[in-house]
Amino acid sequence: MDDQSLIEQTLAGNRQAFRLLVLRYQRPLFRFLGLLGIRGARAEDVAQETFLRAFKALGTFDPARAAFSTWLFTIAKRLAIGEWRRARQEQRAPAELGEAWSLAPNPAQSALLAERARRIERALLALPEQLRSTFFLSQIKELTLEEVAELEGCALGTVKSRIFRAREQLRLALAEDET
Amino acid sequence: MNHCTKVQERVALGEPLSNSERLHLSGCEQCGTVAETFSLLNASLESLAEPVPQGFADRVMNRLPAYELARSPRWFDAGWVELALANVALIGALLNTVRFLAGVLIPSVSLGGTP
Repeated sequence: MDDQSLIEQTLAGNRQAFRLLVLRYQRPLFRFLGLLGIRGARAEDVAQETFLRAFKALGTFDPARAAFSTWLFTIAKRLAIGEWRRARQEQRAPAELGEAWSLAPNPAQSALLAERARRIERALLALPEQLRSTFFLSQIKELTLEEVAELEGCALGTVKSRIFRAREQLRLALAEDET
Repeated sequence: MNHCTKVQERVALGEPLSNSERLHLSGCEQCGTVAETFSLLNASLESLAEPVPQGFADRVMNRLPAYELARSPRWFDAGWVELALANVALIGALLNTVRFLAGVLIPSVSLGGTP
């Protein structure tokens, strides 16, 4: 069933239809938040708030103007960037990446993976804001580059150029590590 | 743009490579290293993704009623109050206009009729 049918059913009072939308978009949303360094309980709060705001405003969604995914990620982006900035101002450390790597087969590999992740996370944090935002959105497989361009309010060529520059910076950060 | 730059750009953007570009990649040490690092980067980015907590959709669904309740009163109360106030203001403005016009027109008629 496509997004629009689920939206119409939700507006007609079928809550299970909205549940299907949540199930469809929860994974890309958490992926987006994880890349921003928003993890654990804070990621859950932002994700819940995104879906609740979408539900509240569902009556105003106009399929002629944007795809549902674009609309949903507009809400998510606003909330996530706000949360990300707050975390940065408070200088909270990003989530404990070491924990995510503790399942690696052996301690040496685990340490290597953790170090690599920390280096990438530092490089992600060092990206200029425009590049970072476009790059994070491009990592959501459910969004096409055209949709990312719409979300960012710029041309497709600009999106491609920003992604290229962001990935190049990340690659260089990683390459330094590996040499 | 030379061939290496073009291939590296396509690899960076994750775009599919043509046969000749794939061939170039396997023969060019520099492009091969770049592609390898990008592949490592992709794997690392994949691991940074936050897993969906168990029961997340249920928790979202459990919070929906509060949102609906919050939405209903605003629709029936606040919206109508605003509409009623706007109507009262409009009627007031119309009455004032009529009073003003009457004030301007009626004295001139009465002045004309007075000897």
